[in-house]
Amino acid sequence: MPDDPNSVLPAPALRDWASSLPSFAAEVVSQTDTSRPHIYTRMPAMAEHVGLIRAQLTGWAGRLGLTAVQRQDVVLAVDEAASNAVEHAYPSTPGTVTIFAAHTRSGDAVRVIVSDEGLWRPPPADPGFRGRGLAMMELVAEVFRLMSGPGGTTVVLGWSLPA
Amino acid sequence: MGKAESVLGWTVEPGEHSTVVHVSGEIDIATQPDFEEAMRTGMRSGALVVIVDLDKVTFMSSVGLRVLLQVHADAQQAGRSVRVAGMSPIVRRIIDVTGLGQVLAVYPSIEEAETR
Repeated sequence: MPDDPNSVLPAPALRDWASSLPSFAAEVVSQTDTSRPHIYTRMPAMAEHVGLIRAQLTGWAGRLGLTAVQRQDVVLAVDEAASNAVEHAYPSTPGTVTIFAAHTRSGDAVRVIVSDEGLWRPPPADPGFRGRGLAMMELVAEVFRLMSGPGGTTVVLGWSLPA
Repeated sequence: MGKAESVLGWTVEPGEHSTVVHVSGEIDIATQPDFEEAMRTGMRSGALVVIVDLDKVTFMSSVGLRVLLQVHADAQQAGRSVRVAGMSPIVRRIIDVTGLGQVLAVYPSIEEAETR
């Protein structure tokens, strides 16, 4: 960031959160332009909140110049990532899911990060919801990266704005 | 900030040869039990063909596909069939990207699902 004197520093809370993420995701945050419309929100990881996450993403995606299919894909992929956190991250304790959505600095793409601080369990042998949810993200996002560890699961999703 | 809880509505319309399950709203992790109940109710009608009308579905994720694939498999085992008709843009998108149009019987309209 110091190489760009015009950069707008993210809010401290965003910076703290980013520093808790795996490095590939922290790097994505540092390369976004938070002076433009963005979302940074944290919700209880509960099924009834996923609709609210979709509503926020729908509003944001509608302001970006994405195609209709891309807007649909953004909402679908984020829903899958958030549902995954709801379903699997916190089997016994309440927890949260954090959503960050913003333009890249270059302005020609958007990135969304969905993270939780819960458990990772390997996909069951049955190719059920979890497997299908991951497959769906991979199918509809141009960038899809997922990492899980003791600190939780982080998903990075990305789309290019139409030229 | 307002509440945005997912809402799913459904009605079952039994017919002589086929039963139609009309579904409207959002099929997601919160409403999955409602969608399952809708499909189970349609299957209980006993019709050989159960048509699920998804024309008014405004959101559907992989949880909806999971339910459709499950009832499709159950129906096949019982010598019956589940047909998907009236797809909204989001339903068409997820069936297209997953290639499940090859697995699920997909029809452009309820009329065609009833007569073919």
